[in-house]
Amino acid sequence: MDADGAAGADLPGAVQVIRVEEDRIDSVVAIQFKDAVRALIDPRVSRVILDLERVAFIDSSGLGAIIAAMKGLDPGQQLELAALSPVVDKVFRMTRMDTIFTIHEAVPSARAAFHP
Amino acid sequence: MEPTQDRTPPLILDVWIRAEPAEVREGLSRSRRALARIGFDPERGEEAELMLAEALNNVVEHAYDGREDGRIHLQIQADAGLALFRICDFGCEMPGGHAPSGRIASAPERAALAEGGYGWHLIRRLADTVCYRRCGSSNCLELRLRGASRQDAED
Repeated sequence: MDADGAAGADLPGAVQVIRVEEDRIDSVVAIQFKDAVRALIDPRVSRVILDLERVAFIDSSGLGAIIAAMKGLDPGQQLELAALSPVVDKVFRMTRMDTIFTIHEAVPSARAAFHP
Repeated sequence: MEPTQDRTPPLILDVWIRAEPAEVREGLSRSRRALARIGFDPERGEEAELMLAEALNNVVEHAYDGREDGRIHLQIQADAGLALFRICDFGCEMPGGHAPSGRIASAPERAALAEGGYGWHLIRRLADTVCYRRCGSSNCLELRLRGASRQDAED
């Protein structure tokens, strides 16, 4: 997992992108994944974008790990998702998590999205 | 409806899996390759993998309750039009003797969101039919999934 630099993290609306390097977020890695995301989140930013471009597969334990990471955020912070593969996107839609998370097609458009 | 209930496609995979996450991952990988070899629709194959992952994870986490000496017997019968997954184990019976309905609560506010309980919801959404039986000291779950969707088949 890799997080981008925190320059300007104090500014209102600051964005952090966390790129997930795992190709599967399943029950083998779910707990470590949740802990790693929590450790990487910069407490100063208001938006955290999880870049899932490399993730080809997620199961319900991986989904639970992402939900747990979101629940660990500070009240003013948002966890958003970007670059979901079709089957990963399906997991979020089938469980109605697409109503909880903002899902972006790609990281650049996610960065540019305006959130008051 | 197509007469899918009575068809029994050829056996393409018959393996025993130790009930722990890394072995489940390996079992899913073998299933994926077996389905690809017979020309099962790739998109439906991904759905099959997700459905099977949830079923196997449930056996590991609930039927065997994390006991790693458990064994799971996985058999797949499939052709391009239909896949039948039979998952048997010697763990605890499903609660009430039935496969869970998989209903999920409508999304509450973020802090109250459940971190689990989505597995059976996904299985119910993905499988065309679900059949669970307790036979003596074993559980047998059968999941059926059609191959390419009707619309794809007509193209």
